[in-house]
Amino acid sequence: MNRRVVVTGLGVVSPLGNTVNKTQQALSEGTCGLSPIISFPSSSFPAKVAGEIRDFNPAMYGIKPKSRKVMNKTIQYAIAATGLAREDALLKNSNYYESSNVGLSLGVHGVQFSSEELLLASYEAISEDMRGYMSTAYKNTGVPVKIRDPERAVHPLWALSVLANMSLCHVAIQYNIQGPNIALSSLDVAGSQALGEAYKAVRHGTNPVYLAGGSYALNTNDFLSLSSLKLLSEHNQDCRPFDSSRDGCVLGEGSAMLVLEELSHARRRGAKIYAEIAGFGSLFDGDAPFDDMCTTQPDNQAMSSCMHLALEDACIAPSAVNYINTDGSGTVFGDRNEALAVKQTFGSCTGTVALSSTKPLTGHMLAAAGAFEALATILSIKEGFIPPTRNCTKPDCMFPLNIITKTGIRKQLQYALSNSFGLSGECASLVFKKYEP
Amino acid sequence: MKKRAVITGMGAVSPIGIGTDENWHSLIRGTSGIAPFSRFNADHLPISIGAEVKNFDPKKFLADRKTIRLTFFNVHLALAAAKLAVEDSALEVAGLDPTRFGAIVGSGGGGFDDGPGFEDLNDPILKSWDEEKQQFDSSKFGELGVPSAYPLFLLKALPNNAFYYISLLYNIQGENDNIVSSYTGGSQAIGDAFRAIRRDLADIIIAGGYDSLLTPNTIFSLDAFNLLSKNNDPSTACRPFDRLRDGTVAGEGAGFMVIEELEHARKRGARIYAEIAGYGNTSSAYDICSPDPAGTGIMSACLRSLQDACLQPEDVDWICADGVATQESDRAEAQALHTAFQDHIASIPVSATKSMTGHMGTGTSAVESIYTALAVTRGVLPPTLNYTEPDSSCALQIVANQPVEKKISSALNINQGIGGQCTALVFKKF
Repeated sequence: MNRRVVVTGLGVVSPLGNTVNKTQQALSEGTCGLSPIISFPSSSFPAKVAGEIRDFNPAMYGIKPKSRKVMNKTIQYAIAATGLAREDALLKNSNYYESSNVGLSLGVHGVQFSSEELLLASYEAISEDMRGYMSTAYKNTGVPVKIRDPERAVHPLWALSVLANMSLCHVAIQYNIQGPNIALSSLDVAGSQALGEAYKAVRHGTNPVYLAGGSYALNTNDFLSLSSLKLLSEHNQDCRPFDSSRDGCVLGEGSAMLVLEELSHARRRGAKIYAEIAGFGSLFDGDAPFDDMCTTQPDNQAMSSCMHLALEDACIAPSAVNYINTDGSGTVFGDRNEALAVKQTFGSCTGTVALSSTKPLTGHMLAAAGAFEALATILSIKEGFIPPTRNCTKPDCMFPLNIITKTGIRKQLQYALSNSFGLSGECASLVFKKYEP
Repeated sequence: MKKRAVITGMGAVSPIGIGTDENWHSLIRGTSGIAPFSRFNADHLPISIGAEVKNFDPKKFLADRKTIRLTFFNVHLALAAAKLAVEDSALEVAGLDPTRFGAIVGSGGGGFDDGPGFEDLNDPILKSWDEEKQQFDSSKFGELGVPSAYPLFLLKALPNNAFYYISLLYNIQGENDNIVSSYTGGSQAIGDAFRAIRRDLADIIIAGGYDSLLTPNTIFSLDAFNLLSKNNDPSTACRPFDRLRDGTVAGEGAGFMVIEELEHARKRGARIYAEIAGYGNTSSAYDICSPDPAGTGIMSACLRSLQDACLQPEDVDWICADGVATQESDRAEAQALHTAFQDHIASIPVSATKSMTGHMGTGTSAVESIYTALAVTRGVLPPTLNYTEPDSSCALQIVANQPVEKKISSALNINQGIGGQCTALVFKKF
């Protein structure tokens, strides 16, 4: 008999605000968190807008000024969202927290270099030779340098800024989380996969409580890479999922963390329950075409299989699903394939399932996207409200889809699906259910 | 009823050999893979020795030149190891249900910390440099740097690159994850594959890890961390658990296993190396840079894995230790073993194979899992080189310098990483 998995805590920092309430409000009003980039000069970048986090004060989350030097933004956001989720679930005071018996599953972006460091280091390496290279990199980023040799100085904690699992380790240390742990990276599906792994672990009895989600901070490298792959919106400077004029995604940043808990455990400690996680499907599209640009977005067949896997795992028919928080990243092919996949999966009930994308509000938060959208889906179930797909004014009508545009709608949701379909062939879908005892 | 997970294929590419046979021969002969750096000029580096993979030609393993161009050296190692594992398992991939076929890969962070990663960025960076102000100018970067970048460089630098190519090559559409870590990713991948098979989520999973610490960049950082031995004599530098140890030696390598559900393996008449019986995974939540002196993380990972395998501490016949060979880390590990095994630890032999392979980064935990499975299968315990002076703060039964023949019914492989992630895997004779 599989255990039931419920969500008992939410924590978020996003372009829509740094609390669940602000996020909820922005989602229901369709407030956009995208704006011209201010964290670095972007006038000459092909993409000039992004969803940046505002008013982030690390001290609020117990991050000491000294620690900030070895914690990049990704780590700080993860610590913030984890702290908020813990408080929301009242884990802080529960016995299980005291016993440190909490698991941690985190979706992260692979590379944790700030591009400044990378570029400076690289510049030095190619312009002179290895000797000066680290020292200059650090001199220019203001990180204290441990001088061991006047000719060569290496910051002793250099490695900490480049190891991909550091977000996870810092979160574990900050909150004394000693249970099973995993850091996943798969570009933009990592957040959903981290939730899926935690869900499986709770369901199969590995651990009764998990903190799970994803974190991502904007980084000039990613603008470079994704622009090169022509995935960012350049003409519109806007994210328009499923709209006929869509031309790419807009990047965003943030972190969303969820507390996943085994039902009887949650009940015993009288936890408030947001929703139940009923199913998870994940697959890699091994057939993804390796086309000229090497953008290996999954095809509609893979997306459809992924949704089927999640529905099977939840033991429900497609007709039971009331709402899909789509991947809807605003790329020409991604959205088309997802629309086809929905049609393929839902067949005759395609018209009754409501679809929307929250990416026009937040931007694509890459490793945090799946976790943020899971959180948004849970709020939709809890509030009985479907947020609108902003900027979708002229839906690309290949066939009728029930896309919620302009304003959100009130609707009681029994089951909702959250999709993450990656840019490198990976797919993940999560099924959430209204909690009924 | 839980399913059973067995190992039906293994592939290792390490400083002491390519393929499991070469690796095994080196292991039991106590052949070290540590030597002066040959791949790059180490004049300006504080360290002049490392454990390089030798005689490795990616073209032998990768038919497609484009794949070689689009991936870094560490990914080549991974793809070779995965290929060796699949060949070793005699699996007929074409006949498999792709949705019941999975891949779980443990990797380091991604491409930029590899030397070659910089090459693709040289041009854009040079064009973004403000000579007057001597600083990086992001508007130049956008205007001149971005358009001159190699368009596929994102793909090259993705941490899930090896995962991607493995899945593509074998048309894998089932269970999948790319676990990023500093060093425990390989054993986490194997542990997660074991769990997925046991829970009937897949029939076969290719799981393992890969890494290379041998770039000037990484050598600098590890040295700054005081992780590397200052002894530049290749034959004596890496001395796990020895009183005179002063750090590890940077290496590289990849290990992959084909992990299969028992009935599935039986039906196709596969050779079975060993069974995976338990997995424990914890975090010490102590400090980013230094190990918890009490070894709590390792201790609870061991106990969790034994509980998972329904074993008692006294049932363990051999431990393949992490044995990084720094003073603090080995002491903490010994402490953890004493707490977990109590008095029984006095009669359990312990080996640290890093004395021969150096530290293969995230590849380490996978390759050492393979060594553990091989030792279980073949009944020989690999030696720990350079163990000459016992350290009273690491009172363990070290298998010193010579291999030992011993029937093993259960063995434990322990790994830990920078930041405090710990794993323990139980391998059982089948």
